[in-house]
Amino acid sequence: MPFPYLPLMNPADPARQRVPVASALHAFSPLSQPLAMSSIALLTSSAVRLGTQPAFASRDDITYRRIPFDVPATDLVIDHRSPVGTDAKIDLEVVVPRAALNGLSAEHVIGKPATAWFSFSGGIPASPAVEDELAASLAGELRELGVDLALLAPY
Amino acid sequence: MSLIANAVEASGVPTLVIGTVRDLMELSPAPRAVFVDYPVGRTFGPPNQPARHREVLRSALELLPSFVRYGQILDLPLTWNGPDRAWETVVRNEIAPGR
Repeated sequence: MPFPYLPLMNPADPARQRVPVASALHAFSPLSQPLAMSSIALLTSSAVRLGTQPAFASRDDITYRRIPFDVPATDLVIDHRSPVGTDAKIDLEVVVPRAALNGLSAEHVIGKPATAWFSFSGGIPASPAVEDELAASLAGELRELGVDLALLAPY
Repeated sequence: MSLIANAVEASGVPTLVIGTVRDLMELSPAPRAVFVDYPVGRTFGPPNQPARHREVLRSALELLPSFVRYGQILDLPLTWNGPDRAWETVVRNEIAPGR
């Protein structure tokens, strides 16, 4: 039985509890080509960024960072303040599996990683802005990169 | 994350969410989602175990042809440490100490 996270993640005070939001879009796009020929982009809600990029704000930040795929992990900073981030700070691969994606490309399981990946904050309560602004911008970036599949890993 | 997946998918780019928080994944459906029964914050496995990270990613991608409709959540047949679920105590203490 899966671990019940929501009772723990929400504050005990019912007045402060956040209700998960479901999208009304319900789109389902077919994959345009076989996985072995596909370009795949990683998206993470871990609020990772290059040390040279602006820091993420602690709350309600709907910005994102575009990060070159092959940048060394030592150039990256995790702004996410989650208490579950201890292992990601040791090895970012546990939430952003760039090496795994590269390995699957070498094995011809996938075509190739996209030349950039994308990072933003998780748990943003401003849902209309998340869909209308953040997601719309990310979709534009993915189309520009010619991505065939977006792989999203929540933090 | 599901809001972003839905909007990206609506723009014509197929998506796959790989997550560990199944109760949230059920309430906020993504077009396609794979559930990994691993502790939150370690979706692809423990640190410094690249073979395991690749196994999780490969297993999730191999499920892609099995998605036939919007909102499906498919379970990966992987466990963090066999039948030992001591990680639940660790996660509980991380997220809500004392609760």
